[in-house]
Parts: sequence; C-alpha cells; structure tokens
Amino acid sequence: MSSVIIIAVIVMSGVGVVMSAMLAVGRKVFAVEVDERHEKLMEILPGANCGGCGYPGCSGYAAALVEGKAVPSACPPGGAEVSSAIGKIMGVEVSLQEPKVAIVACAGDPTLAPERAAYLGVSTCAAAHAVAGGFKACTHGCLGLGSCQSVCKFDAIVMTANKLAVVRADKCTGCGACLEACPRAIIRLVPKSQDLHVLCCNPDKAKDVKAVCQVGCTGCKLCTKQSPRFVVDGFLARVDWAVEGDIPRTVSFVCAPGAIFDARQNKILPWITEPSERRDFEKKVELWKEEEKARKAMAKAGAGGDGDQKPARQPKAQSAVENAGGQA
Amino acid sequence: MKALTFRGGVHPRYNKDRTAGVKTALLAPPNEVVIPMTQHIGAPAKPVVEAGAQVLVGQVVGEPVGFVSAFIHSSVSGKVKAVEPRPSMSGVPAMSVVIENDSQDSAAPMKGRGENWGKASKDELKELVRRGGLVGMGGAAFPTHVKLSPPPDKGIDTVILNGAECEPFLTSDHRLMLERPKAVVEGCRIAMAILGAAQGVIGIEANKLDAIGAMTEAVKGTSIRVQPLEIKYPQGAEKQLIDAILGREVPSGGLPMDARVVVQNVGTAAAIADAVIDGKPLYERVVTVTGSAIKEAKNLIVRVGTPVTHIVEACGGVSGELGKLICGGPMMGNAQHTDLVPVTKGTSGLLFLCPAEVDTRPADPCIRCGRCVRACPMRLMPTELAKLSAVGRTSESEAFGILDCIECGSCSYECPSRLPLVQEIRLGKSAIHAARRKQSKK
Repeated sequence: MSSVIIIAVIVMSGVGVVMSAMLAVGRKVFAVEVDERHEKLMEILPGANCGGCGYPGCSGYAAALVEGKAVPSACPPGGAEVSSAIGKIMGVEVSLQEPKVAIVACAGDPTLAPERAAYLGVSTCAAAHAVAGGFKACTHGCLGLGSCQSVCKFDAIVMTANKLAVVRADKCTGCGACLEACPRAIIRLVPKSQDLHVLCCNPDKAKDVKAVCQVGCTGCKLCTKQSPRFVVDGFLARVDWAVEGDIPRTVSFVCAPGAIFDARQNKILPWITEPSERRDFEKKVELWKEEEKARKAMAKAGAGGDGDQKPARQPKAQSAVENAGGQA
Repeated sequence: MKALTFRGGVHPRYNKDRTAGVKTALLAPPNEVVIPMTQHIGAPAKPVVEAGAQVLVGQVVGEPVGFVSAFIHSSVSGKVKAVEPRPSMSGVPAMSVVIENDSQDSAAPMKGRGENWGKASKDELKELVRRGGLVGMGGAAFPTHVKLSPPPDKGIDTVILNGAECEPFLTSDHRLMLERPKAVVEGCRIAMAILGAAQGVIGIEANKLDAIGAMTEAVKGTSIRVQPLEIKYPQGAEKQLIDAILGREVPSGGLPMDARVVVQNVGTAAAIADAVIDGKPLYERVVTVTGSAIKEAKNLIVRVGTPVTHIVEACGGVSGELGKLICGGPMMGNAQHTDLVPVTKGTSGLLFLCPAEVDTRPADPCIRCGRCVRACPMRLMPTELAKLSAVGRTSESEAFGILDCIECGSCSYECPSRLPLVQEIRLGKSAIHAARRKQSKK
C-alpha cells in the first residue's frame, strides 16, 4: 500500500521537475521583450484613459512613447508634473506647454437665449442639433442636453439649473473629449492662466444676435478699445492669446450684452457657486462698477463736452452687468 | 380588380374628408416671394440673379451645381429685392432669392415641344425636364432628370406612377388626378418614352374611387393601366409600391431601377407633361392646407416661394391656438418653428394641428411588444436598430439592415411607449455614412 503512495509521489515530483524545466527553457526561448520603460510609464500616467493624448488610453500612449512616436507633453490631465516625469524616464528634454482648460463659449441659457421649439426626441445634443438645426433660436448656443458632461471623465462639466454646460476650471484637465462631443463646436481649449473669455460663438450681425440672445456678442468692438488682446472677426469678438497686453478688470462691464466673462475672481461662473461665494462676487461686481464709473468720469472730464452720448449707453451697460453677474 | 398591397404597414386615421371634395383653387401670388436655392436633394442651386434685377415668371434664378441638382425659376414677375439666407423649411437658413411681385405676371417665353413630343429624341425630352427644374413632388424632392437617367444596362421595363397618397390629411395628388388626368397620363407616357419602358402602371389607393375612375378613363388607348391598392401606410413608398404592383423586390442597398422600375409621383408626371408640352417650368404646385386648427381647409395652387403666412391668410387664419405646424404629411413631414418659411417644390401639404392633437408626453421604456417589428414595411427590427444606434454599435446595426430603413415612421407611430425610433435609426444611419466618408477620405 505504502509503495503505491511512494510511486505516486515520485511520479508527480518527476512530472513537476520536467514541466518546470520545460517552462524555464520556454521562458528563455520564447521571451517577449518588454521595454521596462513601458511599465514605468504606466505607473506615472494618470490612468484615466481619457484619450486626450490621441492614443487609445494610457497604455497606448506609453507604447507610443516607447516607440518614440509620441511627445512627452501630450498628456493633458498629467500636466507639467507627468510630462517631466516622462522626460526623465525617456531621457529626453521636455518643452513644457502651457496647460489648457476647456471652456463652453456660450452664456445664453434658455432664460437669456430663448428656445424656438419644444423638443421631445432623443436626449443628446447631437440628435437635437440634427433636427432642423436645434431647438434653440440661436443656432450657435449651448443646447444644454449634457452630451459634453456625459463624456467628461473628470466630472469637470456641470449643467446649471438653467440647462447650460459650464466647465469647472479647477477640475478640467484639458483632454478635449468634450470638444468632440459638442455638435455645435462651441467648446474650446484655452490657456489655463487666462481668465477673460468671450462667451459667444454666434458670428451673425448684431441685429440677428440680439433677436436670439440677450448675452450674445454683437461685434460692437468696445472691448478692443479696452485691450489689444481683444480682436473682432466679422461680428464676433475673441481674445487673441498671442497678443501681449494688459487687460483692465473692467472690460467685462464695458461689454454691452455681457458676453465677456471674467474668471479672474471666480474659477467657475458665478451662478453655480455657493451662495456665500456668489455674495462675495456680487460685492466685487459693485466695486468694479464703481471703478468703471470713476474711470468714465475721468475720461469725461478729460474729453470735455462730447460726453453727451455716453451717459445714454451707460445705464444699458450696467443693466447687462446685473444680468451677467447676478444670474441665479 | 383586387386591391394589392405589401407586408407590414400601419392604419392611421386618414382625415382626408375635409379636403378630398374641395376643388383646387388658384392662390393669388403674394407681394413678395422667397425662393430658396435648396428645394431638392443634392447640391444647392447657384443664384444667377442679383438684387435689383428684373425677372419674369418662369425665368431661371438658380442654376444647378453638378448633375444631382436642379434649375430654380422665379414664380412671379418683378424686381429681385435681395439674395440672402432666409429661414427655410429645413430649419436652417437657406440662400434665397427674394422677389418683389409687380403683379404683372409677365411670363418669360416658354418653348415646349407641343403635342407631337413623340418626334423629339430622348435626350431632348430629358433636357426639357431638366430645364424645367423638375423634382419629385411627393415630398423627397429628388431631381427628376436624374431618376430618368438610369444606366442603360438596367433594362427599365416599367414606369409606376404613385397616386397612392398614403399620407394622412393630404389630398393634393387626389385632386390632381381628378382635375388633370390627361396631364398625368401624358407625363407617364413621356417618362416611358425617355426610359424605353413598355409598361406603365398608376397605383391608387382604394379610398379614391373617383380618382381610379377618372384615371381609368384617361388611360384608355395607352399601354398604361390603373392598379387599385389597399388602404395602408406607407403604400406610396417606392419599394412598397413595386412589391405590391409587380411583386418584385428591390435588393438591399439597391434602387428601384435595380428591379427594372422607375417610380414617379403623379404630381411629377403632370409637371413633366407641362415642361415638355408647354415648356412650363415648375414654379407652382398643388398644396393641401388642412388640419383642425385652420379655418378653411383648401387645395390650393401655390407659387413656389409663397410664405406660409400668406396661405394662412387666404385660408381664413388659424382658429384657436395652433399646436403644431407641419409641412408635408403627419407621418414624414417636418414640424416648423415659424410660419415665416416659404413653400417649396416638395411641399405637398401644410398641416395645422390644434394643441390637443399634439402628444407631448415623454417616452417610456421599450416593453418589447414587437409592434414596431410587425409594422415595419421593410421587415426590419426597429427596436433593435434604435437600441444599437443609441449606444453607437454601428457595425451591428448595419448587419441588421439599418441602411434599408425608409424612415416612413410606421414604427414610431405604432410604439405604445412613444419611443423616437425613427430618430434613433436616422442618427445611426448618419453615423454609418459619416464613418464611410471618413474612411474614403483616408
């Protein structure tokens, strides 16, 4: 009886030794060469698989880096930190790029930019946009169905109570996934350090813009007089990042419809922040208004008698400010 | 004769009684017409007049760009006020020629072939059709000369005229067959001559017995016959007509010409006769104005470019509140957000519905009852296709035949959960086409 057990043990051990020998040989003969840098890269990459680099996920990006096809600075969520870490692993010099964030260039929620039709169909922006150019009167405005929010892997896009997509600059990594999800192409990547933006994409003439939106850019060019960074193409203003220049804080209050958004004091739009934060913001708005008034008074005093037309415009500008600032 | 039909389809309430017996009336042209350059499938026409120019009725104001495009003519005489984008029935502004009517109605010289068109060559006839700016008048507005130019190896043997008019509410084709049966028959004969087809069939739904009678009378002595069809939607769809009348099936991904057939609307046939015999281009058409929210329902001959507001005035205005304005029939027409849009060559009807007739309840989940599958005249599975395209599984939806969907709306009509099936399927189709375009660019 015991001999049976002994034979079984010997046979099994023998088989085990032979098999492990085969495995040992096989490992050497059929070894797959893995670049150790790939594994190291996988450790430092954020692992969100957002696709912002243009490769299929972090693993794809790491593979492309190892093959020398990708540049170390292509990972938007990682930012400077990850870029320099990649540079260290790959042994290359990293040219640091200015980090970018997405911004929804539309401030016209349905209370400001009315809807022209009741839409009951498929609840994605692309579907709504495909039906007769969308249910919003402004064909360049945010539809507010949240397709950008649903593709954002970083919870950086919030929908306001009034159905408007707003990017939170503090959470956005600039991966650009929302840019492709937006059928109206109104989301843009802007340098993170910049905080003055024109929140309008409607290139139409002032009359047509006013007919569809209270906060649309009319192309009045008032902002260009405030700062050389503002450029008006046709009837739509934009900020030219390439131009150097100082931007006075008051520029967003010069804008008659209130299409210019100043993120300097707030990382996200005032109407979605905490009530206490909003109160602070409103105080600042009052302060800026005072500043602007003082500036105008000085300009008036300097210019002399031609100030007659200006006061007519001033109250209008201020009411627009209240609109933009006190939006709840 | 037994009424023929196809498998599937739905039975919506037809609501045609209000206008079926109303004789077609001429609508006085408005003071200003807005003529869009996109009234057809294919490339938009190029405006060839400038602001300030004097134009005559029937004068060319837009020239086709490429083969699949169409001539566009002025529908009034007067001065061109502007050439600019204006709101159109598609919902997005279209480049339009705005003409101020001088009420003279002075017509441009029209040169047709007269009654002896039989002596003209095929190319000459086709050119007359092309010059007339003819497009399919059933609603899709596909340029007619393209349909009449199949590759010679297709061996077209039959021309089918669609007089089914299966869309509820619409009666424009019905009135046309009653009032101008000879023009319809002549148009059919011309189409047969161009295509070299030996056989002509006019399919009419059995709810239009008077039209069947009038057409049977008119086709006497020709090689055209009249075929009654069962009352069912979408009986007038090309592939369903061919299936019902000839028992032939258009292959998946194919066109009617692959079944050796060309299908034309009866309205298009009458327009072909006008263009070839009288040289009269397509600048006016019969439009059914109906629905419970319009005071006087009418069949009107309307100039292309007439604003809907002008037609509303001529019909006594809107009674009560307007729930929905649809251009075309309720099944395949487009809902409009404004009545400031002009009538085009493809507008077969204007439907004014009161708020009670508009269902605004949101959609419920699919209960997998299969009613859409039974209703689908193309024998597809709409619920499956909609689900696949909603999650972007395009290769699977393509394998399930999504591209064969004719977007007739039978599935959405039948769905007890009010799911937007056709919209999902349409999005799925356009996603596939977009991917193909991307592929071919690479």
